[in-house]
Amino acid sequence: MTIPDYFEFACPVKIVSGHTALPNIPHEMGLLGARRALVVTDRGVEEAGLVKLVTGVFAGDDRSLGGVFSDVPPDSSDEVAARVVRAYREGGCDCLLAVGGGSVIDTAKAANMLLGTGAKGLLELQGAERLQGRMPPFIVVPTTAGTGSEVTMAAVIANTAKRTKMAFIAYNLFPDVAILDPKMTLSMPPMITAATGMDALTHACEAYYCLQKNPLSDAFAVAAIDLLMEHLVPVVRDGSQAASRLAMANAALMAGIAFSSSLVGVIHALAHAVGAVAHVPHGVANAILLPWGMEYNIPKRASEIAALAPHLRVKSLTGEPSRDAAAAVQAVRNLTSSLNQLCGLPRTLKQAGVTRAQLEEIAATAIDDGAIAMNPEEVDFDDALTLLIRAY
Amino acid sequence: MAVSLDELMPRLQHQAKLGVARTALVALGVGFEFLSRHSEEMQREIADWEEGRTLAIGVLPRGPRVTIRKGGRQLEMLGGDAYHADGAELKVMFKNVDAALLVLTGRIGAHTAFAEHRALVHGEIAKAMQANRAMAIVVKYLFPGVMLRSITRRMPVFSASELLLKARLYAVIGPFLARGLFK
Repeated sequence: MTIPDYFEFACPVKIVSGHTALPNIPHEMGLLGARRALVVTDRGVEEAGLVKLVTGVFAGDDRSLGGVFSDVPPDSSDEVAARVVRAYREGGCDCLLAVGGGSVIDTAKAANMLLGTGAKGLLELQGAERLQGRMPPFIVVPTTAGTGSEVTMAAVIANTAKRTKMAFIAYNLFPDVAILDPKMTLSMPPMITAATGMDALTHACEAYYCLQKNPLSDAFAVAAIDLLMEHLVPVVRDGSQAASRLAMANAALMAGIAFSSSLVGVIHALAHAVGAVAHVPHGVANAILLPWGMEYNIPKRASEIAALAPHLRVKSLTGEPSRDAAAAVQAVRNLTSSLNQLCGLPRTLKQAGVTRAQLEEIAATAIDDGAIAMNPEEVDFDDALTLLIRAY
Repeated sequence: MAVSLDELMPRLQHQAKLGVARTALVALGVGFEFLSRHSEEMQREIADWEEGRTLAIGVLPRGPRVTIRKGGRQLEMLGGDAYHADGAELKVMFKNVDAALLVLTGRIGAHTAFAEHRALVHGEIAKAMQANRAMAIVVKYLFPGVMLRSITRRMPVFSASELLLKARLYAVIGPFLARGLFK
């Protein structure tokens, strides 16, 4: 194993994982010196009864809730983050408690930045590693097993006035605590379970071969892949298995830790662009693009991708990196094929509703994505378009 | 009060590094300006940059910096003072002079520097990626092939006219550099 010339790794998030993790929330608030939390969530999570599971744990405790903000849309914006800040102040809160998926968690991160810095708007905070100081206490309860946002230092929020996406990357964006309780993901339908699971697999695979890979991110990446390969198909078949749900939540978290350090590459750059232009859910786009992106990087990263083969359950290895890497890619294709048969997860961009006419716009958007710089192989507009045509 | 050699040497080394970084940043600025006038590749890359877009590249905490501005269809180097850099809408700032020198002296590529968290970005990440691509074009012309091999993800291929342009840049960079350092 080669140690990189230089790398940075951070995961300051306390992880509380288990079948009875939720009741620990008030205690964790106490450890952070907080007494009153604002729950940030969305309508879907609220209607699924998941917010009640969280609010219920405050019964009989000194720590309390200052309110529930459930207006977070799927693609959140600076305006929504500003409303969260208002609700936080009006409720006399001293802690944010995000209960939801990627959009909810990113909104809470954005609100926390505004609260912690006192900035007037998010525009003045966008960028990489420019944030300074300590943010208010922040606890996350994920309700999907895919984004890994509960352990990442990044957030993406739309700017309503400029109609652009603002990206924030900073060590101060890490939540303080992540609570993983399988009760929060039990009701996820098979299709979303499959898409979010493939999102986590993409995080882990890209983390393992992208530019800032390091021994620490590698350890989390392969552990995540092992868990995902064991539990993803069974949990899509039968989502009521709490043990598998907990395993998936841990896999997504570990993949999140891995990619937060080693970052992701062309697959994510393309998936973000597919989402922005054609509104394809992020996990679905990643599932489609993962084998193509891995294959694209084989010339530069054959040994690393080959090393994933046994974790992706390739049984017969040749010892020849390019062939074993190709077998790893085939294993991913077999997995997406199984998921397609089980729940209809799209296998091509066309099946996901992307039109051929959108591909050039997607390619142009993708090469401006920050993830493109972290890919081992160079990716220009023509390369991006070629990959999209293959995945179409 | 007398200063011992042990105290003096690190200070002198630091000042020397800052001097090298300042010269390299000006060379970068000269490259942006020159190539925006003469390279079709650079002209295509910056065609969509809005009028007045400013990009500053520098060294934290108070090190040298260079600011580039899009004006008309070309790029102009505004100079190396903090006044211009602080007002830039996009700033790429190396965390320290050692990190800056790794990139500015061609030991690692800009994409590696970003991956290794060696620089901060103030502003839109998409614009930082566009600036990164433009910087890759400058690097392609500024650094010799032997260095490009180790710092680029794909070795650039030069046409005859591009090789000629590279030679022209090398020929004019001395006077441009002298002008840039005093700008």
